[in-house]
Amino acid sequence: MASVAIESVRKQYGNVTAIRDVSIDIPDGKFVCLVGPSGCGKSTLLRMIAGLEEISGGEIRIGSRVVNDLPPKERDIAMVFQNYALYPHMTVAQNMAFSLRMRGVSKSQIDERTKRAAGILNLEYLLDRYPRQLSGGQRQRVAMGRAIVRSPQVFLFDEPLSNLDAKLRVQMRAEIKQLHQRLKTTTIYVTHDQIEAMTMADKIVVMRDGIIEQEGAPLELYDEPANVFVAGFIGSPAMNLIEAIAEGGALLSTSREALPFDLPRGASGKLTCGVRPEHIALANQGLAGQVLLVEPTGLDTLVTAATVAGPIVALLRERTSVAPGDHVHFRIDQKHVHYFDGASGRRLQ
Amino acid sequence: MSIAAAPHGTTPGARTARRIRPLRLRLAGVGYVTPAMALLAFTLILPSLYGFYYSLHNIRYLKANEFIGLENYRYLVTDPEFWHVVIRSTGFTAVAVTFTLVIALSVSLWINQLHGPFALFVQIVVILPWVVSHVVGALLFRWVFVNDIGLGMYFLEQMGIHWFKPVSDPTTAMAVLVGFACWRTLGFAMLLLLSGLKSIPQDLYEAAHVDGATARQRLFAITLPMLKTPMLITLVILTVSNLNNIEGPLIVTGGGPADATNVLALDLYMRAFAKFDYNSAIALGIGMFAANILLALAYTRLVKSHG
Amino acid sequence: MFGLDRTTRILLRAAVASLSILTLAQQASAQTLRMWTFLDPASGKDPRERVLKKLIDQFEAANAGVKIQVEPQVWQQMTDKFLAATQTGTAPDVMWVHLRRVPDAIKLGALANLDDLFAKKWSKEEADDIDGSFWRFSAKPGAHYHITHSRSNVGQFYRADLFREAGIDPKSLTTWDKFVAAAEKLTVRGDNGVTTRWGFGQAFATDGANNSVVFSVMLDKNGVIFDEKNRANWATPAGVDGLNLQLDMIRKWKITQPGAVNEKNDDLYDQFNAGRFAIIRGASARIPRAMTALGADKVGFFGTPSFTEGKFSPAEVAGWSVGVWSGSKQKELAGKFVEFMSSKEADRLWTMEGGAVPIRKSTVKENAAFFADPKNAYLADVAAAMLEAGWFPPDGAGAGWNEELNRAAQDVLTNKTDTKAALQKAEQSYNRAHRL
Repeated sequence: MASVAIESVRKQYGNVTAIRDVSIDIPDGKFVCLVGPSGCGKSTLLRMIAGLEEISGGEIRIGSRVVNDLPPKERDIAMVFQNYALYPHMTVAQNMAFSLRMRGVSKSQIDERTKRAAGILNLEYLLDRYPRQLSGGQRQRVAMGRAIVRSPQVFLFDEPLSNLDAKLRVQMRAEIKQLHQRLKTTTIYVTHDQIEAMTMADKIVVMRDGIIEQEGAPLELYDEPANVFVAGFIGSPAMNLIEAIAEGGALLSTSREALPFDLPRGASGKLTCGVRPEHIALANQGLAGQVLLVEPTGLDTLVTAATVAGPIVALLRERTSVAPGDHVHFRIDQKHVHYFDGASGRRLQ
Repeated sequence: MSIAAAPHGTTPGARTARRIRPLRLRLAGVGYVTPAMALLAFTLILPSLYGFYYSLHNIRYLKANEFIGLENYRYLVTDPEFWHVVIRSTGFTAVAVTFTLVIALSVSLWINQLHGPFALFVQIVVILPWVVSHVVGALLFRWVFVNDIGLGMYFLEQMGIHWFKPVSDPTTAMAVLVGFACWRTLGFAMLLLLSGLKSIPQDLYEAAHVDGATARQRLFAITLPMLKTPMLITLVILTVSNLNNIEGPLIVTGGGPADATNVLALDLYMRAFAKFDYNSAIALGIGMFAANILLALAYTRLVKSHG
Repeated sequence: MFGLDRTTRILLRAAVASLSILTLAQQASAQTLRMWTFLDPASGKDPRERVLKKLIDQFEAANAGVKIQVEPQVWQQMTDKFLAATQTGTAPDVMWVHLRRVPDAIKLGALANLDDLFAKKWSKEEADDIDGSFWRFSAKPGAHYHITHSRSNVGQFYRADLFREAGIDPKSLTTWDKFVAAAEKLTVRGDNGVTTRWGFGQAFATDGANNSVVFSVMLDKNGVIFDEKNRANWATPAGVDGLNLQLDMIRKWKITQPGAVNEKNDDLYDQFNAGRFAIIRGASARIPRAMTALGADKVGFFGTPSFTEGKFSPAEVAGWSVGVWSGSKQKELAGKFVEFMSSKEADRLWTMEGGAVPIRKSTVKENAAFFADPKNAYLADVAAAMLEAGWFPPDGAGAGWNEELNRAAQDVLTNKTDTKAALQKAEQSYNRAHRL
């Protein structure tokens, strides 16, 4: 096991810069998620760590070794691919044993370690099957088995759950997390699904357009998003983001109507107010709106309404009888309103 | 078990009954396949049956006379020259197919790594012989290797080598024939293998890379096993093609010298069109037809089971 | 319509329509004569193709409503295709049969008796004009089945320019001794030992083989190459002498290229045109093409030498025997066209414009000036060689003797097989193929 340090790393494809000056510190044994929309550079960064892409600039260290110019096999990493990349002509056992075989590990060692890895992942009864005889979830587990059999220093996951259906995804998410808790191997996990990141990671790195927007513990990002992008990306249902203008000591909507938010000190000009749906409640007075949509999940209810601040989503813990077309009022928990600079999108303190 | 006791819809009868389509639909289906089947019947099925019918008769002046059973076949298999031809053909086909496969595999592995215009150029160069008319190709080959004024021979003479007449010596004539077969089929084999290579998912290589496989290990552990089906299909197609090819032995080497390059297709041609011995020619033709059917069956089974 | 859906109806209609087109085509052929030949009048590359086109135009103009439809064929397979087509009822009205296959065609009853169609109306004079071995070939007394056109004879092509240079008179080369001496004189070897010109080019490939030297020697010495049962009879002293003579030209005198062992006739013509061979063995029908390539003054033809002073050895004649299919529905009309293609006027065209050997004696007599021209003299030489030493295969002979004799030559050269043993092997292979 080892820490991973990424320092001022760049990736250039001709004139296009895919990653610019990214630095991340991943302590030994931690589970880090790289998350962001497609094209943000997260997969590229992972492949650079794996050694499948060259590094245009900067430095990547695994443990104390600089690995920039090392081929993948010398980096002591294991990778789980989005499409599993199982060798179709090999059985599960052969798939798992492949890396050991390539390293010239003895037959008895291979058998023992394959069995142990299969035991961890409940794959024993599948060892003689071929990938085409497996379900999606089973393939996913074999792919993980192939990664853990070698006990590498670092696990790399490249969107491993995106080909599974929703239910299986939740289940596998839990399995991966438990696996990490058991093996405590440093893990770098790429996903575009912020819920996966929130639920699994010790640390989340939010990326966009080849740069890091924010990094930190999941709840840190949730509670104090550093900018509008992170605020909108982290959390589901997403934070309400309302364009506003600070003018004459009051907050106005873009259509110059008074907004029921406190004006942060020293604010002026355009800004964005953010409030999470769970911090909005129905009330007898407050922000007036007309209900557009009611989405009960059983546990709670999402109500979308048109207001002077634009469409607002509220998450109600209690059951409600409001129906589309009803006129309602919302109370906003002022303690939990986030303010962002209108021009830079940065959080205002 | 009585039918009444069987659960609904599980007896064979019930299943068949459900599958029956309305009459109109079935007629339309018959209508769609009729032209193709009629064409096949006239160009393939009927001539084959007719040929088999002929092979059981004594043929004189291309006319089927009295029924003689398997006499034509008996004559053929008791012809001592025939078995030499069979052995020679088998050897020729095996060597030509092996060479072509190995070269096509190497070339397609090489091309698969190339990018841009150069890759295209190489592909065109390799595929060209396959596109060129085989008769023209065979004549070109002959002109290079045979005549004293041939290109290849001219260069050799210029270099002072005037004893080397490849087509005049039994061993080198066979080598020339194998060379022609490779040249003729290489492009096609390469296309098949290249498309097989292109269909291997890239992430398998990346996975193998991460798993620590060297380039050599990736070739033997990933590429070749994944290419097994395309290679088998290519093998069958090349075998059929070389077994039946007449342009090579007829034009390039003429079957000689002293029968060194006389293979089955040429033997059939000479029996029919030089000796006018249609009796043994048709027996040989039907025999080769049967061999082709077996190879075609192998081919369809391969395509179905792995396709 | 019986509850068929639209597609089915369309398909049925298309089927009916194509059937009626076939019927229409059948009806239209009432005035159409079909002819198979290797000449393609539409291409006109060969001078004979241009003559054929001219003759067709003339015939169609003189016979209103008649159309001659030429279906050009590959010459090697044309005759067999015809024999097959006569049995399926699809043969053409007019057919050009390979001379060697004429006995088969007649035995099969594929050809109509031309006497019934037109020849018995001929005056004796007219009949005598084309009478000769070609016309009588394979015919029963009182019947004629074909008139042989495009006659040709295997013999020696020579480079007249090289002969003039070396001061050799081709007419004098009637014995093998003189022939070998001349060929040695014509062979040119460079300082480095590389032969740049061979005196006598031969080709022993089995595909498309011509009569070889051994063939002519056997006929010269024995008069036959088959026994009374039409079995090959080659492992004789004459056969051994002949094959040794043929191969000594490579082994002993070095006047023939060693590559002959697996070269083809077509290769010979190329080498001849390139000046690499001074003499080659070839079919006279190819002379006009060689003249086109080299110029008429550089190509000549002489018959095959023998062991007797002043006498040619026999060589096989070839030709295309034009006849009428016995199953034709328009035999009269077809006969009329065959007669027209063989008329005096037509023969003049075939000879003087097409470069063909004349089939009528009157053509030679009445156009003395034409044959006196040195560039047409070869036609008279070919005709003379044919007349004196033309050999027709006996009725009932099989096919493939040239191929088998060449195989024997290859066997001796390649495997160092004894000459007699090689001939025996060839003989057996031939007899076996013909169940003799």
